[in-house]
Amino acid sequence: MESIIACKTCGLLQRTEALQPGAVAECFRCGSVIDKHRVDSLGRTAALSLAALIFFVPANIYPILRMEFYGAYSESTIWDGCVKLYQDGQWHVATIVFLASILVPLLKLLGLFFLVVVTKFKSTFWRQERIWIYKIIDVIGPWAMLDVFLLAILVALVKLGQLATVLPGRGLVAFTAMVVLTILASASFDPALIWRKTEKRP
Amino acid sequence: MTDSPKKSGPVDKLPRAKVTQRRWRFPVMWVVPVVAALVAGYLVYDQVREFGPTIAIRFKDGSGLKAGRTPIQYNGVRIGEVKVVKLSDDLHDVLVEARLLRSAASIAREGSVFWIVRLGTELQDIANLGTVITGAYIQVLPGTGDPKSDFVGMEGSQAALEPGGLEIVLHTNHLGSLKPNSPVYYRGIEVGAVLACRLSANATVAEIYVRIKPRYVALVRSGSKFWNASGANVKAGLFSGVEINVESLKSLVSGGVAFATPNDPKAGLVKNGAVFRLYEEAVKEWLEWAPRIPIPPEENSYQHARQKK
Repeated sequence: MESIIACKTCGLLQRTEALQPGAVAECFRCGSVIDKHRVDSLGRTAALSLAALIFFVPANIYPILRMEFYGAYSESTIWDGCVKLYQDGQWHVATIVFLASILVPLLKLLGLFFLVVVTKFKSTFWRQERIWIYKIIDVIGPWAMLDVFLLAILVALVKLGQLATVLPGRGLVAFTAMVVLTILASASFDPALIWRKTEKRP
Repeated sequence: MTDSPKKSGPVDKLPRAKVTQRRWRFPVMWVVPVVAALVAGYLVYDQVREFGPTIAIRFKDGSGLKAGRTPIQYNGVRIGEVKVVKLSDDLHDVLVEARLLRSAASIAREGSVFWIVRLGTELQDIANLGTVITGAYIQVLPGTGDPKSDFVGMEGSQAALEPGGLEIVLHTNHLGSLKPNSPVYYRGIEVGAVLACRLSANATVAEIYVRIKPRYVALVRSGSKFWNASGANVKAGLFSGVEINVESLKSLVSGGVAFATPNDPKAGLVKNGAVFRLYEEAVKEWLEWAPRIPIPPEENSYQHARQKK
């Protein structure tokens, strides 16, 4: 099946054909990759984002860090961290942590999963709304900074280890799994498929 | 892709393989969410498995208790955690809701005694110095009755005594330095403690409520004599020099009661609520009394351990 694709780098329109596994299509003019063969991108994205969503629950209800500092013991979930920051008067930091680590990742995963599943079943309902959902995910996506948060936690684990006893909580396993699965889901997601499969066949 | 149809040759004579659409392929990718569900389910199950029953404890004073932070301990081991601290409906008491670990679920039974261990201002509270760093915690002494979930917490650490001991009342004209938690000595060994001190109903004497540990209950007989062992007894004579009598350093600080029991074997055991007089000091004769009274062996004691060998 031949199709016409515009290069995202230089804008040249060109024809490509359906690609075999392992093949990539490069731009005729600038050489950027314009199309890749993806094995069942929709199914893969659906599976990965569902797995990430499942891990979202334990990652948020269980403590990420357990800390013992001269006998004082404390466990904190991400939400605890937000509340503590807010109580300390750092409400802007609290807001950013809440958005970047809880709300946006959740919305992104939910949106991704919804779009992929609906497209997979070739549903023609809600076409207009799906476009909106896609746009929202596209806009808020960069604000999901789970990986940054994970890095911050790991730095705390290593650095604070000299001052206090810092142990990973059971939530950290789920959180790490969620971060990895979210990244994989985003990587396997091919937005073009949504348009290709939802457009009305004349 | 297929070669162009212009080429023809022997290849064309080969039979064409049959191409069919496979109805179902194993969706390898969907193993990921299944594994995720199993792992997440295990994490949740593992946590839920630790949860024991929730209990409610009523205290007069809730200072130092923090929801989600204050542990419940037994023998120095964490067996639960305070979940909610709130005032009772009539605003008189503090209601504490706590969740026990499943392994300690059997603590929630009739007869269990809960009290808050925190650092007070009394010098004798030095034993709780650790709570400066760790914060207050709730200590429990398990009972043996039927399961139950509502408890009334004890005030102060007098509850550290095992339940079921003997409670007696001492009358005295002058309380001195006695106060709740002051020790009760028999031959210098701590066998009980003062529970409370108050003025009698007609204000003629001070009443001291004393609890003797269950193990030593047999020591108190109807003829027993109690005296105030508070402070130091200093005798200075021109020829004898200075003689200082102190029951113990603890009694010097917090006051104390000592008692002796006469050699009379007929003197009967006393009941809860028995009233004795508290003398200002001991008569010399009392100190020489040495009745033979069998007392049950102490659990886990040094001697006990040696006897087993």
